[in-house]
Amino acid sequence: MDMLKIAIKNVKDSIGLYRLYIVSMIFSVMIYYQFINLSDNPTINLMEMSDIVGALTFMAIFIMMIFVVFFLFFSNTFYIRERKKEIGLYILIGTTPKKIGMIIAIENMIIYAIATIIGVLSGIIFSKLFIMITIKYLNLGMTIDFHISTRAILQSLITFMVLGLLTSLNGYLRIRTKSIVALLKGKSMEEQIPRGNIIIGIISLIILLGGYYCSAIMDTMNLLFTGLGAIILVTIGTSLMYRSVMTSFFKRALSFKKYIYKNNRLLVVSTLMHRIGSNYKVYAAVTIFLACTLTAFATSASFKYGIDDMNKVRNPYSIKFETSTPTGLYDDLITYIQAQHGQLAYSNQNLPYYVIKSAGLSVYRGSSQMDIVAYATYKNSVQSMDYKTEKAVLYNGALDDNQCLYLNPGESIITVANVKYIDVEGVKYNTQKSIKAPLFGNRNDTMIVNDQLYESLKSSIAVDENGQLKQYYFNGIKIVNDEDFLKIHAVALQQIADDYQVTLDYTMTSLAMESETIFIFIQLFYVIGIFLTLTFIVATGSIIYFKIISNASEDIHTFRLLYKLGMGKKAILSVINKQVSIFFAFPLMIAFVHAYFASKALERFMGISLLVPLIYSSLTVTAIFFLYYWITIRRYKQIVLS
Amino acid sequence: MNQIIGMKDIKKTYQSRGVETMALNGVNFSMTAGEFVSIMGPSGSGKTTLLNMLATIDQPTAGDIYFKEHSLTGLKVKDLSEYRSNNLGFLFQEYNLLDHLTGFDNIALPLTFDNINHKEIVKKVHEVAHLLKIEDQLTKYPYEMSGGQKQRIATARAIIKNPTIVLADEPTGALDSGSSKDLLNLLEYLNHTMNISILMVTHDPLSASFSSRVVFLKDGKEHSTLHRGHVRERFYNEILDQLIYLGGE
Repeated sequence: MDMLKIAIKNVKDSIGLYRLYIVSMIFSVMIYYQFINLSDNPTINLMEMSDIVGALTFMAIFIMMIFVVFFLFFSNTFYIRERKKEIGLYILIGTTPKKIGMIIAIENMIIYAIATIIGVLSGIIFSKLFIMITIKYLNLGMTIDFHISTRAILQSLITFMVLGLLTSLNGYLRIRTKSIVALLKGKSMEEQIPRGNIIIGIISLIILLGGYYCSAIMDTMNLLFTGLGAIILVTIGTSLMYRSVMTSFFKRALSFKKYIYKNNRLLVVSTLMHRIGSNYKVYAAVTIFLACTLTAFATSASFKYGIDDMNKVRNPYSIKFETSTPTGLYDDLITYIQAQHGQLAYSNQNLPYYVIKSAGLSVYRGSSQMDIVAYATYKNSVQSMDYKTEKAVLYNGALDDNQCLYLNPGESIITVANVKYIDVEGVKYNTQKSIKAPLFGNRNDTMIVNDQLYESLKSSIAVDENGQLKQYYFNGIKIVNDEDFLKIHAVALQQIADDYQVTLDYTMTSLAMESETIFIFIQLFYVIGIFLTLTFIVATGSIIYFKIISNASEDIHTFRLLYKLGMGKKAILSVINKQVSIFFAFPLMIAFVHAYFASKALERFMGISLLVPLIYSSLTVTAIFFLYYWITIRRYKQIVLS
Repeated sequence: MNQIIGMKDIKKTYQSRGVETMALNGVNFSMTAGEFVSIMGPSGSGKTTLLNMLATIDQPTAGDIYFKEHSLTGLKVKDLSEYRSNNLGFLFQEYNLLDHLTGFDNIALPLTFDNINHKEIVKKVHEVAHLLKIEDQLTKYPYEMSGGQKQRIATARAIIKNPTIVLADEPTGALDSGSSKDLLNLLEYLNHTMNISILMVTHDPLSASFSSRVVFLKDGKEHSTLHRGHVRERFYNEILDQLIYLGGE
């Protein structure tokens, strides 16, 4: 009972120290609860994709747990260090190490209990909001009931209390294994000036470049080797870089007296060298985490971003129809639309194609029914749509008679299946290129061949049992603001088509997005990715905060001395600002570079550009880091200027 | 009289948790240029408080502090920093060198506050290092130096800007007797040859015997003053007698 009282009092006294820790933990608990609650929601479980939601959330929870465990153990160690002196004093006045270890463990459990309970409670409160955001992004067009899942509550409570026990044990062991003298010395000046070694510095840069090179040559064939290689090399390279390159660099800078004796740079640079050199492991870990976070953030954001592209590939036209002979319907429709002041975006008439019932593909594609078009037809069509007219969707060069192109109707944004050949009636046509581009919209896979081959294959394939030629003519019209226009004129247009005995196929761009399951998936992925990323950023920011603040108490003496030596308050504040901002900026900047290379590698798998989402996610992370910078500076000044 | 620093009727009370403690109770004190003054007195007599007042890092509750006939009371924080930077040098018991700077940069530090041309800084540091015979310590970091070496570096830092007065707070407190004597000889030398005024707070009668005048404080007031004759050993005995007298009162 005694120990409990002391523990409670200690927590109360040091709540200022623990504040950010508790807040980060509450946030983690809250997100954790959300994920479980979401996968447990009865409305979502009724939907056809509940399995995938479950799998996705499980994966998200798993990734999150790895990170949270690292974060919690790190901060636990930080607090023990921070309080070493106090603990030593307890032992000196006769408390047994066992007892003091228990007190610390109980304190830790109290903090965990507070954070977990508040986290779950705010999780329950915010779950409505979370679901609302999810629905909004998913455009589900239905209501998901507000639901409190007992399983989610229990699971959150149990998980975090177990983590609390483990970290308490960690703290307890840390205290018991230290000698009293070591404890009393408090936060030791363990750190010597790290020796920046130029050779190790150069080696670390080479290792880093090796990692980047691995990411640059990464493809499906060597993924295991290059992927693993890139991760390991970049991690080692980053860590060595903080240890050697930076210290050598700062050391050199310190010898340029002309530069260093101006504007208090002497203080800023020497402190940076000292701190980064002695904490290089933490900064390396933070940088790698940040790089992963940025990449993950950009990737999930690109899903959202790639959806528009995917929608365009799948639904390029507002009105489409096919006929077996060329007709005048297209002209009639255009005349009508123009008379009604409809604005045409682009349109194509009578694009000829025919269908193979079964083609053999080098990869399994479910259905093997394929459309065949001539390259000229495809080229005109894709150019008329003004769809990414750069090389990516066109083929530079002439297609031989045993060659073809493979076009995917946009089933996923992850990758274009790498089809090596297409087998038509025993003849293999080598695929020169796999393309994802709009043609007829959401239909079969398409095989694109040169014009002669198109004609010669036509006679052997595009004939029915009676020897009749079976070719089709595709017509598509894209109207600007098709939703508004078709609402009024759909019926009239169909009446025109009736004369030709054709049924028009309408697709309104925005509505298509809401109804197709595939879009819902991707957006769900997006939402989960964003929430995960937020947790990561919050925790990473906190780690840097802890690191800086734990150094602040050592800095008190330094700044007091500088003040005595006649350094103005303004100059001291400016030194503090510079130091703290660089501590945040360095990991962020290096992470940007890492993330850039990682996204370049991912781009090749996904077939879409990640640059814009990467820039967005970088900006977001920078903004959040600014907030952290502000919090850190405030606390730092409180400590140093007191 | 060529008075450089002085305090008139200084009172200082500290308030903590409602209990008032009187640290200084109407102290009058002044120094003329070129003096080497020690302040002695039992613990709690207000020695360090007095030093802090003159260093302007603590403000008196009542009374005035003068520097060359200008009152320092009521100056702005910024002006006070400037005053310290231009006129004062500091020595501390714990040396207070910055661990992550070399000896050279530690000495140069006060000059860097003023954005002086780096060539001038380098020249100045070498001059002072030569004077103090610490040229071989310049590339070392503090953790590679002995206590005496650190205090010499700190002394170099204290005089690098040619201060009017050096304020020393128990500068020999952490040194062994050999290094203590070296440092005191150095201070005496600087006082004689460069005419730097020194105000030293100390417990140690031997240290005090190097100065030209010793002021004894007791219970926040100046109690008595001793002037040094020609022989330091005799002065040392006088100080000892005075301390015994103070303790027995």
